[in-house]
Amino acid sequence: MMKALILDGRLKNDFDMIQSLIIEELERNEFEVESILLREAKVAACQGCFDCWIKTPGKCKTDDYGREVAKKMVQSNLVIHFTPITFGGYSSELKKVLDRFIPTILPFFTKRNGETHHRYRYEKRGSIIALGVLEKPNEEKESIFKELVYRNSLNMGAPVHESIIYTKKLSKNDFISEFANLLKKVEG
Amino acid sequence: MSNEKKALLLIGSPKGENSTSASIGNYLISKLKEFGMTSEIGFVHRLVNREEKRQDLFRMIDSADLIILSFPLYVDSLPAPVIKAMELINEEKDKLKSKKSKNFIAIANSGFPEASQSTVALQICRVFSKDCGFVWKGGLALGGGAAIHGTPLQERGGMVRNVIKGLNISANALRDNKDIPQEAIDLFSKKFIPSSLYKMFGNFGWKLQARRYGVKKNLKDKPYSV
Repeated sequence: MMKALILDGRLKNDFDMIQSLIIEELERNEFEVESILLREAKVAACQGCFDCWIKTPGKCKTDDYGREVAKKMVQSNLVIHFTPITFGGYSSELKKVLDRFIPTILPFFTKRNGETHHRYRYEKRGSIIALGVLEKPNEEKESIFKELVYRNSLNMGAPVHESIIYTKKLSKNDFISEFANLLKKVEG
Repeated sequence: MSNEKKALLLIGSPKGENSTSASIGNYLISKLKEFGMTSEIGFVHRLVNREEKRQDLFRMIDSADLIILSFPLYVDSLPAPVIKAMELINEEKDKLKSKKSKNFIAIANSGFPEASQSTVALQICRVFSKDCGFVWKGGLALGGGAAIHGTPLQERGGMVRNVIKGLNISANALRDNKDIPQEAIDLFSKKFIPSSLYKMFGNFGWKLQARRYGVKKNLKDKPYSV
């Protein structure tokens, strides 16, 4: 059974309907689903010390729930970045766990798409679907968000990466049909 | 800008005073002080968690004419506590007592040799500036930040000459209330070590450090393998 991990970076209780819809759709596609409400998770900020590379390879020195989330990310086939689009990027709640993803890649540099990146620690890596929510359409923010997800996929080595933007102008049916199409790409 | 203006340097690195973000920001502040500006420095990671510290952050923003955000690139974006600070400032923007116009610039430094990897992070800063009603004066991106390693730029010698030139030109522009010129952006982002050398030294450095901690053979461990 494929595992899907929803990293729920919402700052408040809104867009509950969207969360229920994606869980339903994932379960309909026989994913085992886990959703983590990150604002209730105690995860310290990354200290940028690189101890996770040179002292305790593969593990953050901070023994909190951030370690557990990194482990779940590695062990999932699909990771969903569910976040309000914040100035074009992720919310601070989502970003606090993504910053703690660093132990799961290697310190060594390699070239990828003509740029320097870190080598991957694990052969098997999860795909990413980023689900950004916005009160109303905003071309600039949506474009930055999609580019950020693409860049994350390069660094995290996601075999498939997709973005979906939900605004209140999008109907429930259109949203879920778009999400279902993205899931098909992940299932490949 | 007149001599009465105040620059606020926000350092967005958990390493605080010992960070490359501080090395760069402090140099720019020193140039602005030569032009008669006053300054204040805030360390973002210490300002976002507790309510009384958040009030300090809002006070700093309120009293600034120019806000300089200097940060390291974390996973293609800004470190989480910096995003938290941006969310808080945006929420409180209507409560700012001072209605004076505020200029805003952002300076990103990354551990990759290509400065262009910080483009998305600077775009996020630009949108933040617009959402808060600040005046975006531009963004600077530096690659290969590990070579500065938190030391004052003046002590790094010729290697950082273009970084310093870029900051000098930026300081002149900010003094005159102008946008950071493209010339400064280009100089600041010039590689000071070729990518191939950076990669070679970097890879060697990681092994050396791991050996020091007795884990050289464990560098590629996979503790979360299923």
